[in-house]
Amino acid sequence: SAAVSTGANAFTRHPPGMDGGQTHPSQESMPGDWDRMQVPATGAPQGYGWQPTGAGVQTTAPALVQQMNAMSLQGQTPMNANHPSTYTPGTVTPARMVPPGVLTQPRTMPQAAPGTPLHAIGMANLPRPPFSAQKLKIRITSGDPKLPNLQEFLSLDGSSTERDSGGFLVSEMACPLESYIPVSPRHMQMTSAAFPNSAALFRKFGLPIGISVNPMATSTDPLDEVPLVSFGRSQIIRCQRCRGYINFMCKFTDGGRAWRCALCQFLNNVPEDYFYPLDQYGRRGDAHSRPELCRGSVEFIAPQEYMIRAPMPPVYLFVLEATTRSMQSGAFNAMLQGIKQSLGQLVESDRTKVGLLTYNEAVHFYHIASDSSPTDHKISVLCDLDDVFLPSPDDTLVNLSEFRAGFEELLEKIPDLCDAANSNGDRLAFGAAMRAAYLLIGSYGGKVITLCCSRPSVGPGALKDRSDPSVIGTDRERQAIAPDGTYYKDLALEFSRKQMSVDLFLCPPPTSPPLDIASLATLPKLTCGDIVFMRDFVGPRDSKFLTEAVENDLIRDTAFEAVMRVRASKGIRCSSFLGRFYIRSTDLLALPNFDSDKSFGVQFGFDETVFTQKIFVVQSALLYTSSEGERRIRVNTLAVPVVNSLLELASNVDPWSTLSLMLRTATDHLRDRKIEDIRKQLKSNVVSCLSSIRQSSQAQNSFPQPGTMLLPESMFLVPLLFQGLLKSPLLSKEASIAQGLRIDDKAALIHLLDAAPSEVMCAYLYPNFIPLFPLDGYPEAGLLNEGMRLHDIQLPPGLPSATSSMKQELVFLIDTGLTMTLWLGRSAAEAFCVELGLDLSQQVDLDVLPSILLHPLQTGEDRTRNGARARVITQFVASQRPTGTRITVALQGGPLRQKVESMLIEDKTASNLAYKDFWSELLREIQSKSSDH
Amino acid sequence: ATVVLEVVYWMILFLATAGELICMVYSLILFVDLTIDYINPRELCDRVNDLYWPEFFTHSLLTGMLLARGFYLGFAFSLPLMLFHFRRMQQNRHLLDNTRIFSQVATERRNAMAKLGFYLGLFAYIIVW
Repeated sequence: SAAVSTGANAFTRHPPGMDGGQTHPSQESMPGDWDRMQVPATGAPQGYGWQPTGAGVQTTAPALVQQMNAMSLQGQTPMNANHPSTYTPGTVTPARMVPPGVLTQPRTMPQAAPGTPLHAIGMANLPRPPFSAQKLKIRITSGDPKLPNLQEFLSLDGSSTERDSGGFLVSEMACPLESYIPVSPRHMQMTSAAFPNSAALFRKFGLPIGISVNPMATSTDPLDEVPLVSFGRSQIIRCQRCRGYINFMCKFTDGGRAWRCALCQFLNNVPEDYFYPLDQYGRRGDAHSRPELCRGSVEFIAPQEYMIRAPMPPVYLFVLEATTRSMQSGAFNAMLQGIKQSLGQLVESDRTKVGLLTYNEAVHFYHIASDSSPTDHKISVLCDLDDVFLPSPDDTLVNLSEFRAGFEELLEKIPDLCDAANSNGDRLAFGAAMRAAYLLIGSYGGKVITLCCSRPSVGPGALKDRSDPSVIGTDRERQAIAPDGTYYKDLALEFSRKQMSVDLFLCPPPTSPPLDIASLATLPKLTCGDIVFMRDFVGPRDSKFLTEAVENDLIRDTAFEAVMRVRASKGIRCSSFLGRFYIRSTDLLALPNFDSDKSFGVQFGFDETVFTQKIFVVQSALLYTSSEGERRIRVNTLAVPVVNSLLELASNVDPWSTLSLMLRTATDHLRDRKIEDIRKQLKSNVVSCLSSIRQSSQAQNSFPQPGTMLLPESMFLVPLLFQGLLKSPLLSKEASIAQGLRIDDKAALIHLLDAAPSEVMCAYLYPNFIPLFPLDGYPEAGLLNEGMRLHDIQLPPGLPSATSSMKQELVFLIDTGLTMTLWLGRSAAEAFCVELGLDLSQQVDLDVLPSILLHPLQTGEDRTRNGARARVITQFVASQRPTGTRITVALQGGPLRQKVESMLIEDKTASNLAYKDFWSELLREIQSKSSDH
Repeated sequence: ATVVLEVVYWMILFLATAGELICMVYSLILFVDLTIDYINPRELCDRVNDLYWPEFFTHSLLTGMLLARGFYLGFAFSLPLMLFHFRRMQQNRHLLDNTRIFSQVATERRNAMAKLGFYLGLFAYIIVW
């Protein structure tokens, strides 16, 4: 039998709130092969912000209604968002009823306007990010709403109309328009919704074009769920020439017996068991029911050929620093707490293996007993650091489900067993501990979760103190943020080859010497591990955050032994990859471990001078082992039309992701270029882009008023976000000093930013100022009624990132993506503390405010109070940020004044211009550049 | 005896330059191999880095020999490459890093091309003289 799914379903989009909760059970049985396919869950796509504004509501065509009624629709199943489960035949699943009102509504599509509308923008009306509640939330959750979306370029009836300007053919798609669901921008996002048709136009445009990819991103939107497809024992359909996977842009010809690869245009034969006749539109009749032909993201179950060895079990090895430093600061116990809390989840896969090492001047191995025998624990101590060997491999790395009792017992006892009292952390054998970890789990691969509070100083991999705070922001910084020696690089490459990744939890307490993160971070950088850096770790204050971060690291969905490849249309090359990985060959990224919290940047370049295709297609494929031991391939495909005019290209730019890509490139360049050169280079890119637009608009006979720029709406924010990039501590010496950055912080910042998800980058470019008090004008803001989910809350309108926002009667949260600051206006501070339930008659320590704000609401609490709503808003923002992000409290006029001021993007500082002046400087440079020509 | 010395001198110059030329051609082939996925970055970097010190010392020898016999024109010609070598070493960029090679491969290829051109020029100079 054809081992592919034959079930039919239709994927539709509904306006938020229209079909929420309208699910009905259905008794219809499923076709035989139904189980092979995962259908997206239904439900109201709340906060469905990434649809282009103006694209409006898309609904199903009436013809589809009958289809849907005839062929039962799969409904919602409660499931782990990122692990699509397969259906079993015959099970009763609720089917979705489509509300009749939705179907009669016409599809509203933006009409392709002849020419590109340009707007004059000048001093009088400087553009700022939108500050309406919904927009702010979108920006926090998923970047800007203006995002590449194929649907925007399609005509109304979806059959065969050709768009004049873009030359984009609907008929190129393999599936009918109404069943098409594009890739979620959380999974893949392109910097512009159009692609230049020649290298000359690309150069003229000046800004980088690329994508950011995070195939494992979690999302609450049911449309973002990835359907699972199995081809059974037959091959996955791939192009014979470029090895690209079949996707929604692949056109079937020859009556359905051949298909043309969307990436390289090669004509492939359709295997016999995949054949299906074409309908009158020249599409496969079953295209709407095959996720691989109608969805931007699909997941294939990989057959035997995609395995080099049997899929590895999930392996977690904990390597903890056992010194008085880590003990007294509380980091050790917080870490143990996090491990204990996640054991319940880890044990769900009965193949999970765990092990535990501690290290100070020596490395300690713990032999784990199968039961919780309280008698004695066998410990092997390794003192010869230069010749690391394993004492006995059998019981140091054990199966968690069999040895759970013994392991839990060990976690209880370990603070007493690990001999921490004799070591203060000044002699730390970190390198040897990593070598031991390598020997212990090298044959499986897996995660090495490491706690490190001091600088490695003995044995292999010992590091010198090379921190000199005066080099921050200068040319000498480059040496300081480059790794010292090649020990950790070589080790990381060995780790990568053995499918191991290193997660570093760096928690130096205050007054401890610098760690040299620049060198240590090489391990996670090349093995796609995590870096959690908690500078000045103080137990009572920060333990909670560390525990949370450890727990998140362990229980989030993880892809083991993964590799990723990004393929673009023939003629276009992925010129650079940015993020945490090791590039094994030109476009193959080795990712021993991959999870939802990391993303990659890919930049495109032209191989040839012209690009002749009408549609540009890019496809990322992540081959990985799930924690259940299944080999899977997650494929994301994105298609945008190719344009031939600069204005059309510019009017499709997504400023947030373009600037995020520039930010990522800057982090990469910081390692081998001068900061000043990077700033100049970035500026010349922006200026050349804007002046090209100016020239093109003059060619269109539209001359701007003096002092204004003619820009397409999509480009409005480019100057502001660019200013944010230049003013960020990454590229500004002044801001680094104001924020008290040391070499360690700078190195950590670089490593955190280059893999940060796009919403973090957006906040980094233009910090969110979210009011918490008073919220009187916004009764809905932060209101979390019983039964509501946190991400469904409303947010108050944000404030501009400028001094004008710093009013003394306000309290707000400044969110820069990687840091959060609670800013208290002088006269509002007291009232705010009272709102949060603090007793002002006693001495109040403002440092308790973050923990109060993050304390979840209890049942029966008055949710309409300002204090409760402020807590909900804070919790929402924190939930969108890397786990473990601490909140600092800054009182107006207090010691953190300079730090807060450095986050005000629009204001003047000693070496950076205010928004207005920056704008006029840009204008001047553009004019002088244009007159040169 | 002077004639023999003369012959030996020119032979060394000739062979050294030829050796450098071969090194450069080999590196260029390796770079091409990398871009078509024929070898992995680790192999490439190990092989190209193995060539670095021989290339550097041969070039130092050449420069020294030209200076010793008073061929100031040839010496002046080979001086810029010498400076380039020293600059790269000062920046600690003389050896390729296999984790970052893909972002540098274009520049490195251009450098190798330039060096190839340079050695060709030197080769011509030695033959013509």
